[in-house]
Amino acid sequence: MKPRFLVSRLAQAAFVLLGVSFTVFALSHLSGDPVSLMVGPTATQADIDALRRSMNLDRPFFSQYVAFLGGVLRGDFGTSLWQHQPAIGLVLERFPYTIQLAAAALLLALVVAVPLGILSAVFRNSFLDRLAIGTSLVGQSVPGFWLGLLLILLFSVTLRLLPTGGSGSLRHLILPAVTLAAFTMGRIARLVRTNMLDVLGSDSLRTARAKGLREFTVVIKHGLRNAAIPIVTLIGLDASSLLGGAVITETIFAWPGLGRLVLQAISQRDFPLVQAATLCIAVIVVGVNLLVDLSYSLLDPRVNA
Amino acid sequence: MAADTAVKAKRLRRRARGRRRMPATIVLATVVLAVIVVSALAAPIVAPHDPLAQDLINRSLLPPAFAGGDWSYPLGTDALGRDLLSRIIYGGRVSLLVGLAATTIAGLLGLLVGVLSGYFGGWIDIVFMRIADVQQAFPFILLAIVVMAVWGPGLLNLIVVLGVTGWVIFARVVRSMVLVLKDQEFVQAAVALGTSTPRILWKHILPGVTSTMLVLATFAFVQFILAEAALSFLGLGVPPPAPTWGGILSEGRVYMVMAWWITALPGVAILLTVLTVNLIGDWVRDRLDPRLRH
Repeated sequence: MKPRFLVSRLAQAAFVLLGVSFTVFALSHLSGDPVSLMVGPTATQADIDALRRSMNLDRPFFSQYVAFLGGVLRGDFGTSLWQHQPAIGLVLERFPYTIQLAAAALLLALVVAVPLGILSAVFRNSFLDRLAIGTSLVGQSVPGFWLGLLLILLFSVTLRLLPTGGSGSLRHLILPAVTLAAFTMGRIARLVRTNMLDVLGSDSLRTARAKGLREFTVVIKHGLRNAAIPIVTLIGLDASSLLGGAVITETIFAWPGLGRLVLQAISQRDFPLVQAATLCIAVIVVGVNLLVDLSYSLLDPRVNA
Repeated sequence: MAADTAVKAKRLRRRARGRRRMPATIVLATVVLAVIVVSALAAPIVAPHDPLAQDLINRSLLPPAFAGGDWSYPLGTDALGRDLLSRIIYGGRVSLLVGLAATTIAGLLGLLVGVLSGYFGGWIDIVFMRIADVQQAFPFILLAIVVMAVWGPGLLNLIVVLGVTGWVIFARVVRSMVLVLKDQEFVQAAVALGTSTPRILWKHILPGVTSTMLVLATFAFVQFILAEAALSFLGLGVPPPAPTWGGILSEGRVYMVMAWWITALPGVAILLTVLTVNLIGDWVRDRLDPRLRH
């Protein structure tokens, strides 16, 4: 990997994060005055003014942003307006849960989708292939919150096999992970299938077969290796949709992650908490995409520009 | 020899015709989608009841006809005694309208940005693409949630928010196509002949991206339908009492255990709409532009 590529990619990520911080700040700034929600009906105008001053809300917009950015760079995201604790602490408390959920969903999606896509391509146009394509398409089309509710109805309410929500054990993770994985699973399976079809017909695989390698080795070693780059790219793209989907999945299953925290904070107009949580999610997305970009040069030595 | 050629030609013709014919799945998908669209358009005629008419005492939580209910309420009723079928039919109006309008906004915005960025390059390109980078750092649905929370729920807000948060994919793809198109000989020739820039964009660049735009539009459309449903489910979409698929589902959630149909059936409507548009979109893409497969 050329250092120039690394440096320019890092600079780009830093710039994006700067833009993200501005967007987050501007959005929550536009969302209305939290003071009117915080004070009781007996508050006087003087009380309101004092509260506004103590929260720096009386300063001009840009100066508030600079103060906000300065704080962020020092790791200070402000104090939650309702829970009276540092916002970043509340976010970091929930952070592992969201990562756990998203990682479990991604892992599940890969474990199911990659073999399914390969089998689909190898047995092209067979019944299995059609079934796999159909299932993938349904997975991509199903609304996550609906799937989640149906799974609760079936596995928790009717069969009483799994908990309806909450966290604490692996059993709590199963339904939310399946719900969140559906979309990604469908996408990856279809992507693996189309790429394997391209690769299986290519000259390099014909050579591999001509060398007398077993078909299994040909498909797995040579085929999958060539299909790896698009899969990794898709994982980068899906990091964003997984985290977005997590917001809704966490709400359905009362999973104590970042997404649920964001929704709660939004409904309470808790600026600092919304800012800290959204920024944290955007940092993950930018970070994953950075890793994906950097991993290209490991997967394919030709990419080194 | 001649007979041989004739046979070959016949075979080729047959193969061409076979390729033109719609597969059965696509025919079926088109029929299902047509039923959904027509019933949404003709909702006042098709719907058996007023979607807002309540009857708490006589018909609260009636099960669907196929599950032991009453045929006058084919899909049962909700907790307020409103006819579920009528509500789903009217809900389709909201979903399809939001999907269509948001796709139009996102598509036009993305087309404009993509053409400008790709054709002119320079600082226009840099500015637009960095904005796109920043926007893509947020999960689409999260951005929509935050903006809807800021603006407040409502049909118009929802359309604008989805349209404005969804332009990036159009812009990126159009930009990359324009970058290729503008170096083509026919475009270079037009430039050399002194054709005005707006005319080049209109006559030579735009036709080159329309089929791709159409394909992208089908995928944006389903994304917006799903986002609308999710936002209405969270109470950040179109506010009640207007029936929306996501809204009905969210109201039904409380009664899920005793009245599964209120939760399950609107989801079927969403799934069928998204699934059929996805199927048709895939098929159209494979015919128009196989390169877009990923």
